[in-house]
Amino acid sequence: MLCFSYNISAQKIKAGKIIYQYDVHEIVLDENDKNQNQNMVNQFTKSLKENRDKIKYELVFNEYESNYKIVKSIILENNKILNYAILITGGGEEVYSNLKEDVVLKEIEMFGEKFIIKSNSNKDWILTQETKIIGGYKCYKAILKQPQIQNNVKMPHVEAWYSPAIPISFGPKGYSNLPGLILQLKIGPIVYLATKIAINLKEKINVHKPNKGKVLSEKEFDKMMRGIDKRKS
Amino acid sequence: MKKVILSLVFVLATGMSFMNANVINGKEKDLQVQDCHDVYNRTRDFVYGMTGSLHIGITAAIAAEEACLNEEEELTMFID
Repeated sequence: MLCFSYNISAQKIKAGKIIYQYDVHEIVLDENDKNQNQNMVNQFTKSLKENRDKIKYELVFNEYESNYKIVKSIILENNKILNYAILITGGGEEVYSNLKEDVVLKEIEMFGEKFIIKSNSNKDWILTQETKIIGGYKCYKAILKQPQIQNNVKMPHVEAWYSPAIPISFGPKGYSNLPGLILQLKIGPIVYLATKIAINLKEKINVHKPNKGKVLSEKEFDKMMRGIDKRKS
Repeated sequence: MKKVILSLVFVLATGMSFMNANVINGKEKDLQVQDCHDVYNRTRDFVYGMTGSLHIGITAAIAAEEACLNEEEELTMFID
């Protein structure tokens, strides 16, 4: 159940904290992929579903900045299926957004080294008039414009449901720049849903900005990843 | 020639294998390193396609391949 702590209509939001949890929808494969990948799909779905109540993500924000990362204190066990679900849902990443400077910093640790991937915030949204109610709030659907194929792989459809009634432009995983808080983000079969919203209308809070690690552009990081991939395959 | 019933594995990020996640059902096949490369490639493309993140896809694929190679060692020991 979605839990809101304030009536925020027509008031300026100074800071807040949102908790997101995920769910996974059924994956429908193309006919060509069915025989080859159905078992992989079943295991993927099962491992995510088994752990969906254990994993939470936290978005902390002030007027211009946000930080999104996994809630570490809830991870009480170290099982491998759980770690897989954390990896897949982005738990290995901490994402900082600054709307004023139009910058997104994603901190990732790989092979024992920290990297900060620098990019701009998403702006290529298609705003639609499709609506639905989430937690009592009327939300509008926006679809991210992006290439359908990257590195010869079909990219997942990305859609966000935002509420203009909560006038802050942040969301999970660094997705932002919509005219309202993203209450639900769907990336392929994985849906991230706001389950708790605490809005502070008075105080300004500090948002952590990642500052340790080698700074790379998205293009440079992608090139590095493709280099690793080439050596492996 | 040693033969095994090969079950390609789709593995967890930390190296745990999900046996029979990708099964070549009931077919006997020589176990080769190439099979684990196939696991790598398929895991990478599948996870990348589901998440949109090449980094997550490759991380999952590396773990998958490593677990597959470990599985291969175990199978070889078992056959010996």
